[in-house]
Amino acid sequence: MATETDFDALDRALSRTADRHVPPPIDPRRLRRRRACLEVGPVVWLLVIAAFVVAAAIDRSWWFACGIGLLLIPGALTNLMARRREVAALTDPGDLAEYERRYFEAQAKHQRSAVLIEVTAAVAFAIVAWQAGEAWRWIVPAVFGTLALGRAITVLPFVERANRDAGGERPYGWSVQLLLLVLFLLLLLVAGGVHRVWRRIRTGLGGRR
Amino acid sequence: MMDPATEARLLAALRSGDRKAHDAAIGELHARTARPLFQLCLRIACDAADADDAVQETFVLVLRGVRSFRGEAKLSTWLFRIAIRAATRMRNRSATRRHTVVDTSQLPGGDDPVTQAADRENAARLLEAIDELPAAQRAVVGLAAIEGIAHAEIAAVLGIPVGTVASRLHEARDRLRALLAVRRSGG
Repeated sequence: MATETDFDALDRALSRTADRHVPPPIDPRRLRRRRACLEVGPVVWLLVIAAFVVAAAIDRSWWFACGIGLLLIPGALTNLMARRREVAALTDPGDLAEYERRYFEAQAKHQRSAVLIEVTAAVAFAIVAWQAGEAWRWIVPAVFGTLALGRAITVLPFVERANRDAGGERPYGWSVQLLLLVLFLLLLLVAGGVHRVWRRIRTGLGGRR
Repeated sequence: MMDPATEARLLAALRSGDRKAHDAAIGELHARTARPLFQLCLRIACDAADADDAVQETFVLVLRGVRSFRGEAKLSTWLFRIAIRAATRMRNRSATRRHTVVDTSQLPGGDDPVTQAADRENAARLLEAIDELPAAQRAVVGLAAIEGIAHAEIAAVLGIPVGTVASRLHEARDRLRALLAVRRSGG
C-alpha cells in the first residue's frame, strides 16, 4: 500500500501544479458569441434540414430522400423538443445525473446491438454481392461495414465510458447480444419456412387462384 | 471565496443591460473563481486542456442561465454544479486523456524548475489514479481540493447529506491509495 505521506505528497503536488497553471483569459465578447451559437445552433440545424428537404423536392430524382425526410423529421423534432423540455425541467443536480445515467445506459445497450446488426447486414449483402458477381453490389456491404467500423471505433468507446462514468448499468455482453441476434435470425428463418409450408398446403389443396 | 454582498453585486451586474458593467462583472467573477474551478475541473476531466475548456464553458453556461438563477443556492454553489457538468461533458468527449498539468506561471520567485518538474510528474501520477474513480467520487475529490470549501457546501453542490460527503471522500482516498499502490508494485 502507498503510505499516507505518499498520497498527501502527490495531492499537494497536484494542487501546487494546478495553482501554477495560468488559466486562459476570459473574453466577454467571445463568451457572448458562444452563447449566441448555442442558442441559434438548433434553429440553424432545423433550417439546414428544411433546405435539404426543399432541395430534394425540387430535384425529381430526390423524391425518395424527400419522402424519407418528411417521414423522419416530425419524429426527430418531437423527440428533440421533448428532450429539451425534459432537460430544462431538471434543476436538481441529482435529477440531471439520473437523466444522464439513463440516457447513456440506453445508448450503451443500443450501440452494441447496432454494431452487430450492421456487421450482419454487411456479411449478408456481401454474400448476395458475391453470388451475383456484379461489382457495384459490393457498395452496399462496404457501406454497412464502414458504418459498423466507425461506430465500433468512435461511438461505442465514448458511450460505454460515459455510461461507466454516469454509474449506469453495464450493457449485455457481446455473447448475449450475439445470441439474441442469432435467435432473431432463426425466428426469421422459421417464419420463412412456415410461409413456404403454408403456400404448399394451399397449392396442394387446390387453392390456386 | 465570495461574501454574500459581492455575490449580490456581481449577480445584479450580470443581469443588468449595461454591457460595460456586465463585462466587468464577468472579469471579476473569472478572477475570483477561475483557479478553484480549474482545481475542480482538472480532477473531473483529468487533463489540463480539457479542464481549461470546461472552465470557459462554465462561464458560457453561467451567462446563459444567470437570468433564471433564482438565488436559492449560493452563486459559488451554482458555479460548481455547472462546472461539474461542463467538466464531465469535456471528459466524455474524448476516450483517451493525457493526464497532464502544464504549469504556465511565469511569476518570479516561484519554485525551482526541478521541483516544478517533480510536481508535474507526481500530479500526472495522481491524475491517472483519479481517472479510474467513479464519477461521484471524482466530483467529491475535486470539490475537496478547493481551498477553504466546507463539507456543507460540497454537500449543497452535490445534493447529498454532509455525512455522505465525509464517507464518500474517505472511500475515494482509500481507493486512490490502493490504485497508487497497485501502480507502484506493477511498475
